[in-house]
Amino acid sequence: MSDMRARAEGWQPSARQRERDAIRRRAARRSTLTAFASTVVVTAVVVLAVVNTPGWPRVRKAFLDWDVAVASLPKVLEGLWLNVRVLVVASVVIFFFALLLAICRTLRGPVFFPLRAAATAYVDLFRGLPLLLVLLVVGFGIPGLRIPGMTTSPVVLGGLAIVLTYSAYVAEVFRAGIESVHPSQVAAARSLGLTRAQATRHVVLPQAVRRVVPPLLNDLVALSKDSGLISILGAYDAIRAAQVVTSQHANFTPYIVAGFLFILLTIPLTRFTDAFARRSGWLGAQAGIAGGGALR
Amino acid sequence: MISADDGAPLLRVRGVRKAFGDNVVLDGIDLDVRAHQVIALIGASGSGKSTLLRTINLLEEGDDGDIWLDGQDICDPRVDANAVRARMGMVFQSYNLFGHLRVLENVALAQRLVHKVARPEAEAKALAMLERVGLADKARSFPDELSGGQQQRVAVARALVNDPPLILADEPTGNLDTTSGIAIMTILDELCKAGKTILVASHDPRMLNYATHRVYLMDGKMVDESKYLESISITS
Repeated sequence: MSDMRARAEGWQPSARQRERDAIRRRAARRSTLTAFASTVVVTAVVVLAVVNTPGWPRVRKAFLDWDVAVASLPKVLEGLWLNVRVLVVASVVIFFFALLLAICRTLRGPVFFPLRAAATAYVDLFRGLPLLLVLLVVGFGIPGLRIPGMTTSPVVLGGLAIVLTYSAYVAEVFRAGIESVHPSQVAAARSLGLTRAQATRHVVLPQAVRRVVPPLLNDLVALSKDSGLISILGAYDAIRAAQVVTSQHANFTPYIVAGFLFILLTIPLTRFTDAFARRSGWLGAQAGIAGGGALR
Repeated sequence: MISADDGAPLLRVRGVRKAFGDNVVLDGIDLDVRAHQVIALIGASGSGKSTLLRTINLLEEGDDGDIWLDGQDICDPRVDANAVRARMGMVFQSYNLFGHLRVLENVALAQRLVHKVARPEAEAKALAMLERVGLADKARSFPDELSGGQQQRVAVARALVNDPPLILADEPTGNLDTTSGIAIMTILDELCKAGKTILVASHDPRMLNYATHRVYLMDGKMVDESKYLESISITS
C-alpha cells in the first residue's frame, strides 16, 4: 500500500504513517507464522494418532496397497468415463427442466394455478425424498412394471433418478434468481410495450441465469459425485468398477483410487466456480466499493 | 389545468382512483394533456405522482375512473395494453436500463420485439436515437459503465424509439447532479419543440421553467397552486 502511494510525486509517508505500516507488517508476519505452525502441529498430531492406532498396519494393507491401486486404475478410469458422460447429459437435461419448473413456479394469475401448483408439489416431493430412495424406486420399480419398449438400462434409469431429484434443487436456485431481478426491470420492459412473456424471456431470465451461475456450478460439483450413486443399480461406473476389483483382490484400495479420481474430477470444477464467481463479483462483491475491503 | 387550446386533449384523465389496501393514493384525478404541452406534475413524496404515471401507462390497474389516449378508452380491459404502452414512452427516476444488454440493444429491444423490426434496421434507428441524446459513442457500452446522467439519456432514447406522441417521465432528474439534470431537461425541451407531449413528475424547480403548464397533486387530489404553496409554507 505504502509503495503504491510513494509513487505519487513528492510525497513521503509521515513518521506516524511509517509506524502504523510497521505495526501492520509485524502483525501480518505474526499471523502467517501462527497459521504455518498450527497447520504443522495439527497435521502431525492427526498423522501420529492414526499411525499409532493398534489396527493401523492392517488398515494400511487393506486400503493403501500400491500394487492393487495400480492394478485397479485402468478399470476404475474406464468406469469414471461413464460418470463423466452421465454428468454431461444429466446436467444439460436438469438445466432446462429446472428452468421450466422455476418459470412455472413464478407464473402469476389464476389461469396458471394448476401449473404453479404442480411445479410446487414436484419441488416439495423431490427435494424431500432422499436421492438413494428415488434411485431404488426408479431403478427397480420402473423395470418391474414391464412396460413394453421401456428401457431397463441402469445407466438411463439411474440418470433419470438423478435428473428428477436435482431438477427440484436447481429449480429453486433459478427461482431465487428470477425473484432477485428487480420489478422495475419488468416495469421498464412492459412500458415499452413488451408482453409479459417477452419481458420474462428477454429481460428477466437472462439476468436471473447470470446471477445464479455460481450456485449452479456448485450443484454441478455435487452432481459429479452423486453420479456415482448409479452404481447401486449395477451400472459399471467408477465406484462399481472399484467394488469389482475390491472383491477380486480382497482389498479396499480401489475405493481410495476411485475417491482420488473423483477429487481430480471436481477440483477443476471447483476452481472454475471460484474463478467465475470472482469475475462476476460474487465473492467479495463489496471489495470494490470504497472502504469495503479495508474494514477491520 | 384545462388549457384553452382547441381540439380534444391527447390524454384525458377523469376521476381516476387507486388505493393500495387502506391507503388511497389517487382520489379522483382529473387531468387534460393537450398535444405539444409540457406539464409538470408537482407534489410531495407520496402524493401519488408516480402512481398516476404508472396508472396512465397501465403498469397499475386503477380502481375507478377513465383514461382516454387520443380518444381511445384505454381502461377498457379488452384494449391491448401492450399496444397502448408502445404509444407512450416512460422514463423512470432510477433509469431501469437492462443491465445485461448493451446500450444499443437496450434502445433497439422494443423495436425488435414489439414492432418486429429486423435487427439491423432496429439498431440503425436506435443509433439515431442515441445520436439525438449525444451518446452514439456509448452504443457498445453496458449501462453500468455509464454515469447516472448518461444512463438517463439512454433511458430517454429507449423511451423514444417507438416514436410515441406522449412521454411520461417520473422524476427523471431526481437522481442526477445539476449538470446531468440540465442535460435531461434540455433534451425534453427539444422533444417538446419537435412535437412531443410530455407529462413529467418532478421536484426540480428548474424543471418548472421548462414546463408550459403546472399541476399540483396533494394527498391524491389535484389542488390549485395557491393551496399547494400554502401547504408547503405550513409544513416548512
